[in-house]
Amino acid sequence: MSEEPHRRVETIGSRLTGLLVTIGFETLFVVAVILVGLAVAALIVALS
Amino acid sequence: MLIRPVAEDFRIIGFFMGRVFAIFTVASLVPLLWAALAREWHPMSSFALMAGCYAALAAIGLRSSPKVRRLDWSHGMTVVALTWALAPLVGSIPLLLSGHWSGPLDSYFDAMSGLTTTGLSLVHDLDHLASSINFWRHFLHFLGGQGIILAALSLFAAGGGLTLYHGEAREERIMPSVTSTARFIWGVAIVHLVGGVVALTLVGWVTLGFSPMRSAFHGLMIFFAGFDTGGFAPQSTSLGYYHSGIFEAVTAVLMVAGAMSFGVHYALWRRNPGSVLRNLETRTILGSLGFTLVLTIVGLAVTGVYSSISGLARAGTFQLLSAHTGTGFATVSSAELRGWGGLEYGGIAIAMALGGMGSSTSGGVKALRIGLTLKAIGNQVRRVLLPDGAVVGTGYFQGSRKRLTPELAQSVMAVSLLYVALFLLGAGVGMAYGYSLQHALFESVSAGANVGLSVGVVDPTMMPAVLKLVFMLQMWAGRLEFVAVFALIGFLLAWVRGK
Repeated sequence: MSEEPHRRVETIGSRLTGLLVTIGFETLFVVAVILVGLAVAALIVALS
Repeated sequence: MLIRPVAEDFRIIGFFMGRVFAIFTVASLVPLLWAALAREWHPMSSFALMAGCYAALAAIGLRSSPKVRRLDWSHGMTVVALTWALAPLVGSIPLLLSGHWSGPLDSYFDAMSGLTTTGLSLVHDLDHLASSINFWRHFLHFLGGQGIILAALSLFAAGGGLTLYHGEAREERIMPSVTSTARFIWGVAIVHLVGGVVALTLVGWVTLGFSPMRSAFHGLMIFFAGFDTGGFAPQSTSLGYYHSGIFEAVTAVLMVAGAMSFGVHYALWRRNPGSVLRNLETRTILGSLGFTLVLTIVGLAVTGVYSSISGLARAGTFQLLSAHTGTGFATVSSAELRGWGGLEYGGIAIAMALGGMGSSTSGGVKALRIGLTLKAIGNQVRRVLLPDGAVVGTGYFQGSRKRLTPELAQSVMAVSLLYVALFLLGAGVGMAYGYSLQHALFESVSAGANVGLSVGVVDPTMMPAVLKLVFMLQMWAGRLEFVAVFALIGFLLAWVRGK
């Protein structure tokens, strides 16, 4: 017995969510790098 | 034995090159229109000349009418390699005629740097360049980064598009067909174009006090150079001109977006960030970014170049992101960069060499190759340590579960080694002209990995002509990831020595 292949229907809502996920991921990536940079800098200055 | 190409081979190559030059003809109308609106009549006439040259090349190619309009692998690679060499030559006409470049070699250098999204420049007095010429420099980043071949694929679907797609060093097919993949890639670019330009314009207008028009101009230029990981900037002091942490942060987001593979964009667009975090490539780039960031920050702290923690972290993280994504924006001058010590210098150079993700606008060895190389070495070590007959897993996750075959490991390591050879070539020639190993290697990696950060070797007044040619070769071969270049060499050898 075969099943109807699953098709993902793209709506405006799902596209907007996709856009938000993309921008969120890119922004979080940069924020994480900045925070690591700050943490390492603070640690080195505190140790020296 | 090499088989000499026949007239039909040349007709096929000419025909497909004609298609790509037709796209360039249309693209060159954009700066022409810009110059007309800005009432820059001298640049406008040079853009008209350039459009005419592209149109002539397109007409010659399209008139060759081959019997079979389908590309095989060798033809496709040759088309890509030749197009990427000839297109910037014609594209350099407006730069040369503007009088801001010393000669044809310098303007060709900049057009090659623009199209290959490198960002090294030999321009004189950038701050007084006509706006339309400045626009063309950045638009070259957009055309090259998005892949002019991709545009041709989107418009001319039939005829062996897959070889052209691979020729531009793109391997991922995220959609059922190359054409739909090409359209998705352009869709991602357009969405980021709108969002990025609006964000940068608002930052320039609201926080920097620029007029709305000036802010939009800078936003558009920085978007082209940031998202396409190019590195040209409308001002000679690059991103340092803006003196704005918010502007740098928005630009950093665009650089990261540009360095992400289109497979990752597709997974995020499909609201599946979990799969992105499982990817070998994502994990590798997070690891290499962390390693080079610690190296750079520790180096800067030890050298004591910056007095405050925030200043140190801001300069270090931005320069590192710019290097690792292959963008080449600078918030510090070449002279200041030369003053950086060994550790931070090494961190930035390693980041430039490693580059961003595969199938992105970024250059360098690329994170997936690094990840697969490390995995292959790890598997080899495990085979030695484990008892005979023990099974060593060769699977890895990249979009889906895949197997690291010996053939794949071999080809990944071969390309990585070719990059090392390419970096050493430029460094060797630079040293022969009297530059120090540190400076020659840094600049060579910057050219070969299509980054654009400079410690002053690329200079319009002092750089030797041979070194300019070598760096152009590095930008071209590095952008095409060697395969198309070797195919062109093979084609030429067969033409000369074949039977």
